[in-house]
Amino acid sequence: MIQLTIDGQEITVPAGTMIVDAAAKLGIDIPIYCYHQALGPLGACRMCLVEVEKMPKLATACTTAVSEGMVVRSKGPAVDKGRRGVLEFLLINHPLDCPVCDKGGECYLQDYTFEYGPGNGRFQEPKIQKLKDGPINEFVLVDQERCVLCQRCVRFMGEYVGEGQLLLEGRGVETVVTTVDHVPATSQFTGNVIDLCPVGALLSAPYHHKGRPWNIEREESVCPHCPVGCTSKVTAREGRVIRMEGRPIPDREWGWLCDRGRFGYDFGYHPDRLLTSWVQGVETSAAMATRQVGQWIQETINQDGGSAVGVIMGGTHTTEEAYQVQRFAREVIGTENLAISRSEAGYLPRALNGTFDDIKKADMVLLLGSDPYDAVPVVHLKLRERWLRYSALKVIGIGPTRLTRDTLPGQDVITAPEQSAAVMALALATQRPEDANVKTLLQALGDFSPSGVSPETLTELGVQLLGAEHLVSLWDGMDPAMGMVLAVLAELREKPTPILPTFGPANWRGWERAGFSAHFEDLTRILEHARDGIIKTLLVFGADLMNEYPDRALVQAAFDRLDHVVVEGVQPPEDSPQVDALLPGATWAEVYGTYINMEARLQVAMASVQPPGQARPVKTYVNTWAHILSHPLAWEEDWEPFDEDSGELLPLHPAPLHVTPLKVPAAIDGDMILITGALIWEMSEPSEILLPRIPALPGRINPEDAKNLGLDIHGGRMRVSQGETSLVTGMSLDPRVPKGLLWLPQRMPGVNTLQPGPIVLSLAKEEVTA
Amino acid sequence: MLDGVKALIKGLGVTSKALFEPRDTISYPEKRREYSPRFRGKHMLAKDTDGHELCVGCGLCEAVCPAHAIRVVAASAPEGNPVSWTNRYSVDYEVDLIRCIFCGMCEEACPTNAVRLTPFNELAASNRLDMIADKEELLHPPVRK
Amino acid sequence: MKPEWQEWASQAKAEFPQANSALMPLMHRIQLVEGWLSDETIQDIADLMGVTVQYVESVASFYSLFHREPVGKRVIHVCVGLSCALAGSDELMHNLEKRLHIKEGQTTADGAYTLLEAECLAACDKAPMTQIDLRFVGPIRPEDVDTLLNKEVPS
Repeated sequence: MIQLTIDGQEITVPAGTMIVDAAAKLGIDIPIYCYHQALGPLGACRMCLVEVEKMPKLATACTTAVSEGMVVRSKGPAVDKGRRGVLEFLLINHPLDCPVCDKGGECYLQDYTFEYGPGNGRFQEPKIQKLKDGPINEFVLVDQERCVLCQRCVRFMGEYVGEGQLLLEGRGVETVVTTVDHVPATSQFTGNVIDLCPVGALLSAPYHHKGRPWNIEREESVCPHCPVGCTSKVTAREGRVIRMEGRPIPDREWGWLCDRGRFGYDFGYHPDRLLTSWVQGVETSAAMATRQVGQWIQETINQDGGSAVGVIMGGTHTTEEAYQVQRFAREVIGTENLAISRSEAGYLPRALNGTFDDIKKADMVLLLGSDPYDAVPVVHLKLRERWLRYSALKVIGIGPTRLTRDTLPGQDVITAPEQSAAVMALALATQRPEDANVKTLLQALGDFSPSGVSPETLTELGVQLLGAEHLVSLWDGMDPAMGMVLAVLAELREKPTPILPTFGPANWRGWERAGFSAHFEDLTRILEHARDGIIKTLLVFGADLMNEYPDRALVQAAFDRLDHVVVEGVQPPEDSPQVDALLPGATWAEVYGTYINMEARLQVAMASVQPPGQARPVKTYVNTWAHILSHPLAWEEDWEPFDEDSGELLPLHPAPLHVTPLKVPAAIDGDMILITGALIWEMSEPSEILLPRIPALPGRINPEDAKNLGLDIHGGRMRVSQGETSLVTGMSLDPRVPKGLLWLPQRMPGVNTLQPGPIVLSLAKEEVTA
Repeated sequence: MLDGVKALIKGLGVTSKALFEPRDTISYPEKRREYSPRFRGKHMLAKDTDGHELCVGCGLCEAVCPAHAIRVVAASAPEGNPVSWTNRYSVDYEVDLIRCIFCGMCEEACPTNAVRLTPFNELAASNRLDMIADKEELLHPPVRK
Repeated sequence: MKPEWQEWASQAKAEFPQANSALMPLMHRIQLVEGWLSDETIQDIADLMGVTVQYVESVASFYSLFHREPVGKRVIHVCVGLSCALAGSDELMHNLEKRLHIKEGQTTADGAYTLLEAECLAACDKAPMTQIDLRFVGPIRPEDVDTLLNKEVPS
């Protein structure tokens, strides 16, 4: 620890701290453009000049580390003069277009010029003209004239994200920020440069010319699209959401968002959004529709009892909404048929759940079927940050495709589809063959040997699994057997073994907290009972079962048999004809509520706007039905998902370990095998702003297979057939996918008509002729 | 009694004196008063000599307005059709003349000199909605007779 | 990528304590043969040096002696610094433009010459001077353009 004095105040900070961070701890604001804690010191802008005793000249507070007994003055005539000079230089070529600049009013160049700058400059010559409102990509605009060359964006993309798609081109006053070869940046994280830019050089294209800081309202919120639950701010103007920004939380979050979350806020304004109620295909008033649904529930209860009603939760509903629905279901209807709409069969008990803090301590990361860049992008950034700070970080991907990337290097154990759990179990057996749990796991496997994985690899993997000090696993939740293996692993290891579930829906932990079952089997049971006529009425909240449930045929059969299917949601489900009533719901920006993310952390999202049209929060429907069923619900006591003892994290309940023998993975025969995985662009509600970036060729296929099938090097459309059903979709070439496999995003419409397994691929006919 | 007569004559004196004094009232609307050239009446939005609007929709008038009488919604200029002199313009510009206190702060705050207060002061309307001046109305300021 | 580049890269890297320092010598050496640095060449250099394309492109665009567009066999930089300007560099430039039938920044149709401006080259004693293929040539009187063009410059 080092003691120093800043502006007469003494402070003790760890060695290596920069003066600017030490000053921030004292609440002393030192102006900064180029420095950012996540990116480290650079000293490009010279704005943070301070006076340090015994130093001959002014020093930059962002590149000068503290030393014992240092005396720093952040104010005073010398400092003021220095900063005034720097600002005069920065403003030489800066255009005077604050009135048309989106940053105007929240711009550091404005603020610092007002505070420290000269009233006017001495530079009389014409200003250099550069590109204005040019594209970085579909979402980000660049105004090169306004740039102060702080390099935050360039360093963020190049060093932090590892996708160097931005650069400084040229020299001197002609230096500009642009993309490599002037092609649009394709990274998943480009939107963050908007937040990072201290001036108005990098702007959000969808927000361009839409608002000013004094006529907008900003509410703290949480991104509702994936289970990471990134902290964000929602900007609304005149009752309309117009922007999402990251919300940094000291010592926890940098406030990064992925482009899907940052620009996908407009799903509430999608042209397809449900704004009126529909009963049996007829548009009707909200009151009529709600009453009709209430009567159906009443009829079902009268004829077959409450247990003939099923309730499925989905969409972007908050924890509180789920609680209201489950109280209605349990107390008024009297049913225990409550489930969450799920796409994956796995489940992770809270006791095994890790937090993002674990990533900061990890020395080994296991990617179990989950590619964080595709599934939970911001976690990818967290992992990369850990790797940048701790280069010995081991990353091991276990799954049917390569899961590590150039930006997160590591080794891959490529297993045949469905064999990952067995590989993990066998790897454990190489080290602890005597352990009772491991023995149970292997009981039924016999002499099964995984294809493509050598015994040496298994041994090496086993050593690493048990040797790692802090092992963080990211699990895609596809295979329930893997969940069991992970539980055994956590039991075996005496060291921390946190697991982060990367599967959705975004708020599944919250709905579980509110009283829903998060087990996939419960969802399947409800659908099967509906198909078999045991359940007569199904209330679906927010979920698009037709696309979310992995087996579309079962959902279809259930919907055909059900007496009444009632769907509440933001978007009408794809197959609305079978839905008897459609009730418009409120989106995440329209209700106040709590989201619980993949680290079991409770985060509050404030309401920013009012629901449009007939859309209304769940509570309204639930209350009306409760009245119709003559069992009004009392809401006197406010239910809080927060727990006094556990604070922001859900309480830990030890989960008993039930180990059952692993089944021998069935051999899959076929030249081409379909596997599915999570892709953030295909998840959650559709957005119009995102359309240009939704991958046109979402499927992935090995280049060699593509060549054999006659596919162009740039990819193209192909027909995927499996028995009677087939699907035409775009394919891109990806060497990360092994030969003989086809990867499709699990949530892409139509993918769940096919089952993972053998398929036949052929060039799409319409493409050949065209 | 005598006091009463005295008072009466005195009163009549004042009246008859006023009879020959110049009148304070004028017969509006046939006759209108001259105002100071700095009089602040209804707002207008100015255009430059090429016919482009000066307003860029920056919203500073909205921010400075003490009565919250102004609403500005800006947008990017449509491709090939620059409405204002730059690539940003105001789609909506509304002044609520009931709320407005004619302080002239908007005029002072305007960085492009687009919003100006004209001497026009005949603001009566039979409907509250008519007292909200929209952009079209402000672009064509009425001329005071 | 030319096969010998690999060799050049390892040679350049061996000369410096930090491998990154070898970037510019390698770029110079490749440019000497190729004449200019195309997008593909930049990509190759990035691969050879193990740095990002973005980094190489930043360097290439920063230094005016790296050409990102095709240039002629001979590159003539006319110094337009203060001393040369006083000694008549604008006239020299004008004469060169007339003689070669091109403007500053262009390349002759036969690909023989490229004419460029340069800021002060720190050889004011030779004003007005030019730099031909990295060699200083001067002083040149503005009317002696033909002598300049015919002059053999050791490379």
